[in-house]
Amino acid sequence: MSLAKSKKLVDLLLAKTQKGEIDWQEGFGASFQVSFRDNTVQLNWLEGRTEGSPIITVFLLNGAGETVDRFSDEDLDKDENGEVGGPWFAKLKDLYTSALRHARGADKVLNAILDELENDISF
Amino acid sequence: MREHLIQFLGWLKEHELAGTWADVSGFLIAIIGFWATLVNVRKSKKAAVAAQEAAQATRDSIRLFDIIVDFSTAIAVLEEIKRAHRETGVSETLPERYSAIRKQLIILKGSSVSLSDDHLAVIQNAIANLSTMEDHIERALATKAPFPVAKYNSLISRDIDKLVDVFTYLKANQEGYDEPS
Repeated sequence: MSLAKSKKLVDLLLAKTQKGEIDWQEGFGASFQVSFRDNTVQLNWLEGRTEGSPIITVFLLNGAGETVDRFSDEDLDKDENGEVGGPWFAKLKDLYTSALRHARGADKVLNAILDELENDISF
Repeated sequence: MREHLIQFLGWLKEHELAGTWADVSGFLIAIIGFWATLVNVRKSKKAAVAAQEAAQATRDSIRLFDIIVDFSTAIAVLEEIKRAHRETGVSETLPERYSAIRKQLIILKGSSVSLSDDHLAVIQNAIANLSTMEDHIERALATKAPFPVAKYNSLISRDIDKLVDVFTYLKANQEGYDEPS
């Protein structure tokens, strides 16, 4: 089955996350999630069999909180190139890192510190 | 004036519309009566619509009150779950409690009270967390794996805080209903 819609979802989430339009929240373990009015998307980071090769999995939950679909970076890369470790791993890793920064408020804190420092310099 | 009226009566006779002044006055009375009936029908319709609107507002207010009570109960149950995590850790009754509160939140989300997409997302997030916790607890019970109480409780606390925001919004809405108009 083609994973075109899954890829589109990752692209949209990445674009909107980078614009700060997605309200990611910390979940259980190494996971982040965002909920919409009727669904939830969870991003899960799992260490793979070899060290330094994590598997990032996207879970889609319905209105009752049940997992209705899941796909990983490996699924997306295999669907596109027939092998893992391709561009979808990089995209999902980027999405995961951005989600983590948003959920922990890293950018907000960084911006606040930069604003304060810049104001101090100007006086 | 009299001449005009006689001329008008003549014209009516000519066209076989009326024979006497009595016919003309009967015609005028019928028109006035018809107009008065229309005015009364309109007044009755307005009164009926107003009564219907008042009844609907009362129904909405009662429904909103029920939802506020359910919301308050859901928040209290989440607090109880946090306490149960601290006191008993993993226990076989927990999945049932997660499931019950999750169903209650699903019903609240489906209720016809007008909530914004952000408010619905808050409820959905709590539902997703409860579902994931239920799954984790089931696995922890089966494998006797350690149970990260602090992490679970911090997520529940975050959900409670956000649900309290929605609860406050609903309360403010209810006060709007209760205000005398």
